[in-house]
Amino acid sequence: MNETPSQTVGPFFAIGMAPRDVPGGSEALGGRVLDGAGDPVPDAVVEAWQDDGWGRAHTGEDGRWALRIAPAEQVVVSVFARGLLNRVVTRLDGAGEHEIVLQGERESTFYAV
Amino acid sequence: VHGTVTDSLGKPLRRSLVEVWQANAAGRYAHALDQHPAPLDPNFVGAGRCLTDDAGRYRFTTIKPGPYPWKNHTNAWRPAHIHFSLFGRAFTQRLVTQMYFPGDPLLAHDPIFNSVRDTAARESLIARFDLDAAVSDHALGYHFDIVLRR
Repeated sequence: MNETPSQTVGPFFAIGMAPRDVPGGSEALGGRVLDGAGDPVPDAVVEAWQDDGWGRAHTGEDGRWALRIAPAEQVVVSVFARGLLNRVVTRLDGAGEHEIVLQGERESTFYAV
Repeated sequence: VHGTVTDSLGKPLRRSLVEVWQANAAGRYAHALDQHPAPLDPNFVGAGRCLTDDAGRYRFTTIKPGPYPWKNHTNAWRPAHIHFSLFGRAFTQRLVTQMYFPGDPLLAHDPIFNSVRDTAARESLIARFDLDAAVSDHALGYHFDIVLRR
């Protein structure tokens, strides 16, 4: 059977994809999502998946997002945003602040899944 | 709207999360950033979620969303659609997509729908009208199956 194709989350995902912490999460994970020009992306979803479950956060006007995760050396996150047909997936080095750059010279390392 | 969530081998994805969100019948989202001057519906939030059952099935009752202008280009209208977010059983199965309605004349003009280049894959985003799922004197029925990666 053919996989159902991906479509963008669009600008109004907030009404359907409610933010939450990873269940039992105790450490802060966050940062900014930036576009290729270095400008903040104000309508992205960052979703972290861990052994104990998933959590996600919406970026604000300044591109900032934050949620709580379980302690881990690396965290796999998906980013969904209006201009993306598919999610992008990257790894962050544990709790703390991280910049995710969607394209351009400073583009984050995104993994095929 | 109802259907089954399976993997590409046809195995039902039981007890997996399905999230949906959409515009109201007038084509407006209950979201502060949606400034389309169509009326908000005070009785319609426009979002829901459920788990699939033991056969991978989901079902929800909603209002058929309206098309709406989105300013992407001159005379740009989104065809009526419902956003779906699927979790499946594993990270690799995570999918966000959109479901469309059969016979919508806006489909041919929509760059988001047409961003899927493969014809069969693109048409798999269109629900099938399902009179058997309709509820007499109350609601029409549509069938939309979703296939996640194995």
